[in-house]
Amino acid sequence: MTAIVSLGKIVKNYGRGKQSVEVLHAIDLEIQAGEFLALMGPSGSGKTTLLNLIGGLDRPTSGELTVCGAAIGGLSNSGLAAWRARHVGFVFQFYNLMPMLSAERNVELPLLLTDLSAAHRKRNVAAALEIVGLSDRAKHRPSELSGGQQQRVAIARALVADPDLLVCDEPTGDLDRATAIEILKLLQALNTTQGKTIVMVTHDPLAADYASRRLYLDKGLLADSDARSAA
Amino acid sequence: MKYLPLIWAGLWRKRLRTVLTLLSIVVAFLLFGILHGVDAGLAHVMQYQRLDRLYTDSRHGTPLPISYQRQIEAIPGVTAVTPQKVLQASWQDEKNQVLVVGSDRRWFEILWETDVTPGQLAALTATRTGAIVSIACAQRYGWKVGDKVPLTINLPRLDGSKSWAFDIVGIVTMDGHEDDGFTFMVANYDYIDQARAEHKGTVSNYLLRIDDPIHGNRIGAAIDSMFANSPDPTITYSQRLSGQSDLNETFNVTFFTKSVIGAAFFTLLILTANTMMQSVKERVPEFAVLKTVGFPDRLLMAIVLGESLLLTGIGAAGGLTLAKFLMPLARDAIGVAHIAPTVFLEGALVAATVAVVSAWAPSLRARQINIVDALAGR
Repeated sequence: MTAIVSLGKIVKNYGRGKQSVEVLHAIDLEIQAGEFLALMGPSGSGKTTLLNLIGGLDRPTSGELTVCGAAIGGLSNSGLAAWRARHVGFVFQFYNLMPMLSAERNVELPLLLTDLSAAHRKRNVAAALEIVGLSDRAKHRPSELSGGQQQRVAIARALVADPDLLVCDEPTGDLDRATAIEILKLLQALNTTQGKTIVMVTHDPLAADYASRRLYLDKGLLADSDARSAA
Repeated sequence: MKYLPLIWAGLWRKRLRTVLTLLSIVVAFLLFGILHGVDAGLAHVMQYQRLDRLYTDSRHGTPLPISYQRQIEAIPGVTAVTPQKVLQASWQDEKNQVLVVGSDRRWFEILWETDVTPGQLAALTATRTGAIVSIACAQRYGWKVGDKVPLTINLPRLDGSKSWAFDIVGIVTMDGHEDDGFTFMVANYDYIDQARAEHKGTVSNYLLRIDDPIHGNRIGAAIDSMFANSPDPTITYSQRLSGQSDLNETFNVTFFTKSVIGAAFFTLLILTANTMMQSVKERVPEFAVLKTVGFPDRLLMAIVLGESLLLTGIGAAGGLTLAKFLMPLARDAIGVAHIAPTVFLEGALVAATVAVVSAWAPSLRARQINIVDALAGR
């Protein structure tokens, strides 16, 4: 297997007033292509910070960060934006859909950055909505969809440009148990049937059970969750 | 074009605010169109009333010396002067009246409302007894070019006779007098002056053109003060009313209309900029999501600019279209019932300027959004 994500001695500091707080302490991590990794830990442990670094939404203070073959820490803003568009799909806890756009227009957003024709974009959008089981809701706006349906639209948006990596921040955090399980099964299916590498931040041990590997982050340091459980 | 649905959706994020802003833009451009129409109407009035055309007459009704002509020509702002010896004449019968104006070709240059041709003017200059007559004269008396017409004028010639012969060298139509039967003739002043027995070297009045209507009062005062202590003092006035000229000197309508338009657009600029800024501020998480999926900063700026252009473009088109349909209602008041195409072009440029300037700060704000902070609600 090849590592799609490689972190070497990654440190991330945040400025709070005049003070600088180190949130991640020399993290070393490799994620193999095709893995479904659950990143767990208490609030403030640095899970989302780590996820943001892997997804190219933020830059490390120091260390080496290679994702999908690119040393993304050194990319310019526009270079990083282009890299995200090509390689990463994002799923958020609160879906983050554009409220004025229909489901299909929301899903189409990443494709606007490509050279695909309108007809081709439409086909890809239809395929993504088909995968998440929302073909019949294509014309609906987010306000006309349930939470689970909105998250499915968000997953379709994350999938539509066929990224190498899916980055999910608490994707079931705003959903009831039954809906959460549907979403987790969907993510699992994407991992197993389409080979998508998924990195998911979650508080929920049940959600983590759907992943192929679990990591525990505490106070900016990584520990093997399975080993933790065994201990 | 593929971003249009996104731009359109962003524009209508807050429907009421967009409608109110749009209405403000429509009203501003309606004002823009109407005031430009008023301005054009005033220009039309100025043109029609010929406020740039003055008469210098005798203050006491006595003839004025021909020597005044050169002195009047020397006054700054006077661009042309021609003498007028106005005579009442009749043809064959007392009832067949003709107004004879002894002048020269400059008369037609100052009173340009005729359709006189350069050939007719050349013929008038070349023919000492030549005369250009109104179409009403020609039609009423059956005159044509080449005719020699004898007129009776109550001005004795050197031989004592009152019969004056004129050779018709041109027939003209005069704007505003096409159908009123105005029978007039313009003949050479020199011919009349040299052939008459009395009041030689005098004129009834002078007709002059000035460089700008708003200089009318100043030039008139300069002329009249020049001859104030002479035996033949003058009084100078515009073709319409000197009061009209006063209006323009004390109340510059063009300046007024441009000031109102300027104030309206300054307010509009603030309003549109505020709307765009509010709109971007409320959509920070949405812009953050766009950035997350890979929209580059310059594209976000272009989207904000696109929203602003669409907003002002729709408003400007609405306002100017409304003005176009409302202008005919103002026909009676200002005499012009349409908006020139250049006003639409100017309006488009103004709309684009308002859009770009008002979108500048909001688009920078969109560009500077930090994804991590915005998604975390900070």
